[in-house]
Amino acid sequence: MEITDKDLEILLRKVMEQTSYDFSQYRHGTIKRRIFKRLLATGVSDCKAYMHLLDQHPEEYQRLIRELTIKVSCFFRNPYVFELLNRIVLPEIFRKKERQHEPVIRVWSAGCAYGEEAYSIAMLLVEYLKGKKKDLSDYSISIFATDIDEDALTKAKLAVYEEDALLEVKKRFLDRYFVYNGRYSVNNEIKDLVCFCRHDLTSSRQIAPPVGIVHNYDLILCRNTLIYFSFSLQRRVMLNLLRSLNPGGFLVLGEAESVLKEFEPFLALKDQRARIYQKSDERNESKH
Amino acid sequence: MNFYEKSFLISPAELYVTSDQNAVIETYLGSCVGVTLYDPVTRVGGLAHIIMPDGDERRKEVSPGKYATSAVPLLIEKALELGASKERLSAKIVGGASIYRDFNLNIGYRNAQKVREVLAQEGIPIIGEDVGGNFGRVLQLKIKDGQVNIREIGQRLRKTPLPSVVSEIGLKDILREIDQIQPLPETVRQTLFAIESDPADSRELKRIICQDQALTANILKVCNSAYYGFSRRISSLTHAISLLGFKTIKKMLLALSLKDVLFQQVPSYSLRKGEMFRHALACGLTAELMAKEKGHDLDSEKFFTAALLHDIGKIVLDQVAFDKFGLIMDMVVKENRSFLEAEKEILGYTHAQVGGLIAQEWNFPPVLTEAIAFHHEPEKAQAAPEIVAIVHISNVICSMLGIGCGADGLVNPVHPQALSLLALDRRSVDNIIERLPEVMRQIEPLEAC
Repeated sequence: MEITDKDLEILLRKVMEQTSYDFSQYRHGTIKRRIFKRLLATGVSDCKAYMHLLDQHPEEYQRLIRELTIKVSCFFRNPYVFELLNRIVLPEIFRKKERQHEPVIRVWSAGCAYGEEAYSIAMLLVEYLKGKKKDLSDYSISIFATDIDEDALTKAKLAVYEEDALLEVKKRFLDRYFVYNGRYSVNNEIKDLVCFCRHDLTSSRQIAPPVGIVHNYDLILCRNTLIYFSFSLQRRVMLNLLRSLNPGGFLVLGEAESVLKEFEPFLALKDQRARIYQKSDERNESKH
Repeated sequence: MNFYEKSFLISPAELYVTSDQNAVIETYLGSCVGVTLYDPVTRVGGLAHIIMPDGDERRKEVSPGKYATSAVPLLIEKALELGASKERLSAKIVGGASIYRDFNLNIGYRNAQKVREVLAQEGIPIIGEDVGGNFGRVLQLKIKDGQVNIREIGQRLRKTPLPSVVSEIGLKDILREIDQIQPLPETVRQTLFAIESDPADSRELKRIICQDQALTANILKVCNSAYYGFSRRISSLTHAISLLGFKTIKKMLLALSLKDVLFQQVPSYSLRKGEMFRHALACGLTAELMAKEKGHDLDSEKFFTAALLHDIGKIVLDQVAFDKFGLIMDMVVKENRSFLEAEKEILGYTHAQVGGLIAQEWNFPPVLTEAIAFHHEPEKAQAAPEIVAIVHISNVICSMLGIGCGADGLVNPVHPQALSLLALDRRSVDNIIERLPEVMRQIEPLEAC
């Protein structure tokens, strides 16, 4: 049983038509290996039979996508990004909040997989406030974490992790925010700050997660999710993200991602390496 | 790394005694009384969450945890079994709050009095008391050292620095914003319509459930939980409906589809993560119980649904007006106003009004909209005064039991008209409260999903 390049092309086109996920830019070797896994799991004889199966059981698309968008994630993934968040982004957000007398901080981790990123941000925020000798309860901190994969969300809510996921965690954070009981669990203080919910980033009906009620976010992290989407879909997602950001709010993308050209006037690049963008703050400009 | 602390949450009418040194026993109290016992030498401790002063003998036998007269002796007995000595035991009593301007029900006062009396009879000294007031409390007992922590619910709001600049948020702005998010899942709306158009149509409901795989899986998980106790695994929806009944599945469907939205923390009302969800469900189940009591067996689900959704306005206000709640609480404490009055004064509208507007916007059935909008002002109801009155009383009762009581639960008055409309006196309210702990057991499997 072998998947030829031709088969792959047909299959990926089919996936794109049905789900708008575009995997054509991906390394073929990896993609083929992962598709092969689904072929084995479903017990079909070859790629053609698999495509037939997809037609008859459209729910298989979900499983295939889950296999293809495999989640490699860990706490504080790409530490440079978190360093910049801590040094530049958080201070700026808090300064602005103080100026506006608005003790509300809203963060959205879009495409959160098993929740590591959302919990990392929660820890960073709590630690930041402690460092500034501020009381956590004087702020309303809401971190919404969304994914399309229900099973990932279930795991994220449990917040139990293996050591592999914790390699980038600093000792200070490990001591304060994790409980060890054979495996590592995130403590309740951090868990309570994060709210998980299923949300489809590409939705045209809901521009931001339903649990968030409104869409005024100060910081949105959407790392390594856009790469899976076709160009037109990227546009829609980007528009949703942009509309969900507060004026002056920050957007963080993945290492290999960047803001589409047409959005550049609205999203200024803050740091190239960390892919941090800032939405223009019209209110501020008009004041000065 | 943190040492491993095991936290045990005690529900109303439960008690727990242990010598596990890592254990922390915790409970949320409204008008109920929490009693802690501790022996500092053998380091055995326990906590009881008492909901009533006394009851008849048969009931005390079945559920001794509910009543002061049976829970306290049982607590002592269990502590002795684990090696405590009666001479060394001492008690602390906490809770027994009353509802704002309530002179009739007075359960908090009666509970505390009875507990003191029983402890005196048993010869156990009371070394600490924190009782009364119009606020809920979180009580914690650490077995390691017998330390008792009490947190007033809403305390944080009282301490919040008051903003010097207050911006105004119009109701229209709120509605416009949430229109782009649509916080209530489509499933909820579809279910409400299905129930409204034909309450007996199980096919439509099945269709709604099946379009969401995760929802189907969760419903089956709840059906297979220990609460329902079936020996064989239920693996299909049709099977579940035939075993548990269509109504039960409908309740699960509504509760589970609202879970994401209701499960978050609501700091503006001092509700920790999960408390809002528990409160909504507890109110739903209480309303259902009261409805059945009043002979509404056939449409009891209307009552359940209305009570389940009554506080959606709070979640919205928490996201748009968090900075105003310090002022609201300040007014409540300093001017002795009800929370609702303070909301109206500071914001210009109440969480009930906001909820009502959302319900209207989404074309909820009129009865439901009314119940949400007037759940604190039942006298204004026109379409279905009885449903509104029952939602009102359920809300009060659940706050009294400390289930999601929040900063406002005990600082909103009980409406005498609702009591008289339902022909409820002190005794019948007692009777409802007494029966609730059993009903509340349905909540746990829904939380576990």
